[in-house]
Amino acid sequence: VSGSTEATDWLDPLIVELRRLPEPGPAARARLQKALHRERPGARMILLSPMRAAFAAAVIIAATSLSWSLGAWSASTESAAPGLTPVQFVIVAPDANSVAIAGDFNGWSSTSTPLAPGADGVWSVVVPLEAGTFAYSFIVDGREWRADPQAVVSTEDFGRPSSLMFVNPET
Amino acid sequence: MKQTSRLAWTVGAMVLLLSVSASAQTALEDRLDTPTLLAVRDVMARAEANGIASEILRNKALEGAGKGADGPRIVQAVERLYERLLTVRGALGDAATPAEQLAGAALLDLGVDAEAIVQVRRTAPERQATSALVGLAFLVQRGVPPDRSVSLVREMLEARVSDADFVAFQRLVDQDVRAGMPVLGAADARGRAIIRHGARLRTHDGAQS
Repeated sequence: VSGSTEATDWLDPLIVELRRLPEPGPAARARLQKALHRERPGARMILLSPMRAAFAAAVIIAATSLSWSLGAWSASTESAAPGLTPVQFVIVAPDANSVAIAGDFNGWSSTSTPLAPGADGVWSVVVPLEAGTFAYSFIVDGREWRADPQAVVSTEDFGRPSSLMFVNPET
Repeated sequence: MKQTSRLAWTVGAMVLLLSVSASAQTALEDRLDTPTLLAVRDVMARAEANGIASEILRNKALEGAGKGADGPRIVQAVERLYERLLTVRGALGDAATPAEQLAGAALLDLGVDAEAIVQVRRTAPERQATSALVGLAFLVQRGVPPDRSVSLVREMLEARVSDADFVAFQRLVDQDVRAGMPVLGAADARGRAIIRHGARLRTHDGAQS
């Protein structure tokens, strides 16, 4: 029921009316609607069938799941959910205007995980990662791909460098 | 009425599954043209049929797209990686995790023989080999001869050095090399120190012995 912001006294006769109803049905709904309009002419009653209510719940659950998935995918904050290890990526690029990181953990997006500039040309970002092995690369000024100078292993594929990171489940 | 509710929940569950599945697949479809997408999916299907983690191949395709490679080059790289992963699976066995498979493929990339991967697995078949394989790749890439690298990593595995110690080992060797120490000497010294240190820790910690 919508349209009410004042005291709830007006609900009492409605509840009395509801208690008189043998069971919900078309006639009962009509009487309920009538009682509601008598007390609050501006009010509007919305009745959801089980089918519609279940569908609405499913849509809400799906939307929530999607937003969680997308949030986890593009996360670049310092807090990590359980099971994720916060990993700090650092590169020194004093002449850069922007630095981002692309890798297995963000679908190799060159824009979704930017690094923040710090003192002395140091750029950094913390990415929560699951335990495992990840390939990644830094992108300086949106065009120059660089391996991580601190990486354990770096290779080259597609004519541009990549680094390999092992996220230890113990740390 | 019960049947209607059941149907509604079934529909809702399907919507949920489809949307989650769609979110996982969107990136690949958005980043590849149709012929490349179909070719990559074909390789991924073959990988799954052979017990190989197809997400590694998916990530390679996304890497190619991110780096601006054209379709044929992406497919070629994915095919090549698939071949390497087959070799790694043969060396590590069917139970190899995606992380182990990717680390093994990186080793082959560096020119390390598959036999080295077999030796790592055989030395400690009960534990995940990822940290040891990455440690091996680290040594080889820093210039330690493959035979010496395999030998040192096996000694560390036999001493039951932890994953965290393997990571610390790499950091310390890099630190020594930056200070001017030859990589082989640094690797030997740090490896032996960690083996001794680990052994001493386990003596005092009954849970690990």
